[in-house]
Amino acid sequence: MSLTNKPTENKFIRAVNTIEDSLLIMILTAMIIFAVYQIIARNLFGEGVVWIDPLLRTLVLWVGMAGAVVATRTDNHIRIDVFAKYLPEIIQPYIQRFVYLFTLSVCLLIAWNAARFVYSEYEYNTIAFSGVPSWLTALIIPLSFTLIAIRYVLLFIRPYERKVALVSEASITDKSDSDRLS
Amino acid sequence: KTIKIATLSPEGTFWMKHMRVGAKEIKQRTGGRVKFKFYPGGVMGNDDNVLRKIRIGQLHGGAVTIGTISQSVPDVTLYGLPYLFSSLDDAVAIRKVTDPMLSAEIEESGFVNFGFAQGGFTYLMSKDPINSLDDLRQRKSWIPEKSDVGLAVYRYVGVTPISLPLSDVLTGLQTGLIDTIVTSPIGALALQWHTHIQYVTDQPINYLAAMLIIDKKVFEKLSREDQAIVREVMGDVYKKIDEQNRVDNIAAREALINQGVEFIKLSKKDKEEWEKIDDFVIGEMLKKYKYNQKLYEAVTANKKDAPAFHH
Amino acid sequence: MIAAFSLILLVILGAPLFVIIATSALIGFHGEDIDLSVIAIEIYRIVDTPVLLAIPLFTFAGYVLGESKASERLVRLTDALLGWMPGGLAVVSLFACAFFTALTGASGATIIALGAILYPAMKQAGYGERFNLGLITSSGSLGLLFPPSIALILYGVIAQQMDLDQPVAIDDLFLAGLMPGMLMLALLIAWSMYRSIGDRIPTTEFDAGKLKSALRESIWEMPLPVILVGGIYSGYFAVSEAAAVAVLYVLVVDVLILREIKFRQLPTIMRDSMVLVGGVLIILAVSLASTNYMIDAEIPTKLFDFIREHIDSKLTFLMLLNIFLLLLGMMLDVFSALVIIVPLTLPIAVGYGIHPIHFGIIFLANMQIGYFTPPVGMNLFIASYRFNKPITELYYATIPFMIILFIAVLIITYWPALSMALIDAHH
Ligand code: NA
Ligand code: NA
Repeated sequence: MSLTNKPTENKFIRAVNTIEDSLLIMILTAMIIFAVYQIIARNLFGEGVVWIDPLLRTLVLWVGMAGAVVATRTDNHIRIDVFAKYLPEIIQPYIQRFVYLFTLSVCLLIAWNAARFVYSEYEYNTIAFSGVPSWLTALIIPLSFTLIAIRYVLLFIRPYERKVALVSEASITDKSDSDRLS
Repeated sequence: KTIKIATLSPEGTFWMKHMRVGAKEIKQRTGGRVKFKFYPGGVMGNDDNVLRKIRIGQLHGGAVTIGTISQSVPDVTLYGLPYLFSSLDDAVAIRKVTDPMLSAEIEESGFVNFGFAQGGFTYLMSKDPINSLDDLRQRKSWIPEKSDVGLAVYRYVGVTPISLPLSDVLTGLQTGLIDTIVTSPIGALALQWHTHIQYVTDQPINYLAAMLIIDKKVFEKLSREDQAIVREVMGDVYKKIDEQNRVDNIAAREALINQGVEFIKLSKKDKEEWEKIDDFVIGEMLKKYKYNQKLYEAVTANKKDAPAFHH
Repeated sequence: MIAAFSLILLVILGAPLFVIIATSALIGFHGEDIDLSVIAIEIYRIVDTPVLLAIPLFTFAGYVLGESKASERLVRLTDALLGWMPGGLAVVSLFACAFFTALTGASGATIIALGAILYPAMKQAGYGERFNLGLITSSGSLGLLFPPSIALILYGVIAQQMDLDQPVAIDDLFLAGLMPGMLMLALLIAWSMYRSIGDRIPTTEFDAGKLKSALRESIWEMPLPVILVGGIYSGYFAVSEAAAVAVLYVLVVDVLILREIKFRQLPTIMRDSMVLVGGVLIILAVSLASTNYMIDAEIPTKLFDFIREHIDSKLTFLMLLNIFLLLLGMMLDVFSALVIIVPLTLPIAVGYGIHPIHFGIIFLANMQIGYFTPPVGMNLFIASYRFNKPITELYYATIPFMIILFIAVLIITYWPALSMALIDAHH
């Protein structure tokens, strides 16, 4: 299975990668099962499940944020990468580190403020749906931004050799993405 | 001081017009010391988000449905109990007594309140006539999310309604995915759902209401005179909106009839069947919310078969 | 000023877009003395947006199809069916994108999900890289005018609250959108045919035998669009649930029946598709915050007030409106734009004698182009990410399509009958 990791990574990071990947896959699987079940239940048994819709919308947030965390592993975020490649090669790693430092600071700032939001939801006992408290459903926001920040710390230590902008013929099946992630 | 207020009500509605007229008067009478800035049309998010933003101080208040603050003031859900008021006039009579009590409770919880504006009653609206509970069991019903009362009603009836996002309801009615909704005549007209229903079961289910709240911490920074002016003007605005909504609800009902929607009068026997729902639902609400006994009894004063107060 | 300058510098140095957008929101809120946890409140509003469910599910379905041999079959089928016509596959792609966007909204789902099949198919059929990219990127918002577009419904609901003399029924809006939408499609089809002749993409004689075998091998995939449309219009499932049906269908066909995808491949496909979704969704999430800052600071309103000062006739109103809406479509999502700007502009438009239904079509037609207007139209970034291309290449690729659709917008704006004729005929 291509989810195995490069031997060069240390054991701990490999384990974390596997956990993140599995979580991402589990969330998507849950979304598919619940969404399909809702349609079947309605057409076959003539009734719906009231909490599935809000749950699915919550899972969209979770799958998106978890996906963003995994994308950070290879610094695979949307950027305007037109100009950076024209800079002299010698200073590129320094610039990359500077950008990483800035990025991780902003992510930490968001994570901290998101944690305050989650605490306030807990304090005011807001309900997201069917008795599920919203601090729980919102927890993914501080969590994912913290994980993204940690990934950028790792990237700061060892910058990722980005090829995205330089690849002229990208493979549409994203074999390359898969390889880069593993 | 500029007071930032958000609401779901779109720009151009008479709600917004009245609130803007009120804001203008306040600005004039306070010599520009108190101004209002409105964010209509739900751009600040739904009522829960408005509450969150009041907490962090981005907003200072909101025109929200009264159920929004049920976590801190459980009694706001009392007006929404099923089959509570027998008519709009009955509601007016009861509210004369209970509005001030409810306002006082809301003020105690940290919000300045300027009275309540009714949204009218909700009704069952459907493509095929619904007379009995059995009829309802055959239907494909939709109810809005987070509607405690609505869900409890369907629990009693013994069917699980279909949950869809609001944006899917119109096409859902069109395609037959759902054929029954619970909403107010004003709501049905505003969202164009009325074009896909033929029948309204003519027995009001529950009473809708909204209110303007302003964060007390912000409000108390105004001078005493300015506070009094804001209270007077916005209080009047809400009285006007409340009255206008009553008129509009009656008009919306007429409009539905004119569009060919049939209002089904229930037989005495059917009516009794439906009204058994309230024992169950009010019982559930009494379990869920810690109501104030005095307010509960005042609200149910005209309702002979109301369950006795208990926790 | 310094803040804006530093942000531009960070863009140039290649900082992730989500960080740039988040930073601009944070700076803005900080300047207004608003508690920064507002950014989390805004991100959490993802949960209040039902249309977004289409993005992960359709993307996964698209990836599964992309891993199967579906795109090759699609090429053979269109070749057999429309091979005699120049630009056959481009025409099919345009229709597919328009249909798909009408279902999913212009959230980018079209580009990331359909791109997985259409992009390799068009490449295989010999279309140029840039044309291919431009077509898919600009078609990512092409269905906004077709029913059951949620944007049209929302416009109708807003317009009805406004106490206008003319009625704005949603059914009428659906009718009104048809011909302008078709005009846009027709112009793009004409352009595709022209390009395909210029690029000497070979046409073939019609061959019944070839068609028969192409039909036979596509027998499993062809019913999907029919099932989606049929299922919605006969009430088996809601528009927002169509994505789940697509996932189920594609899994059954490609994993269980055709067995082109092995079960053990699924985890990788799932992960890769969700990484893409994550990259797009984190930007949508922080955009909610930056949009909210603009709303809080009343920037769209101030911008419009500035423009209003320069209006002295219906013609200048319409011209400035076109420019204003293009800018707006680039900066705001279509829903915020509708809610904030329609109440400001519609009364003025009605004052100039523009019918509110016609105005709605003008509004959405402009917003549609805004989605891929350089430099910051959202769909440009999504396509750049999806196809692993520098953003500048997307700028070049979409220019011809922008020009064509802008011509369509001008026709739609200055020729009301195009929008209103079907309604008049219907009543
Ligand atoms: Na946009
Ligand atoms: Na946006």
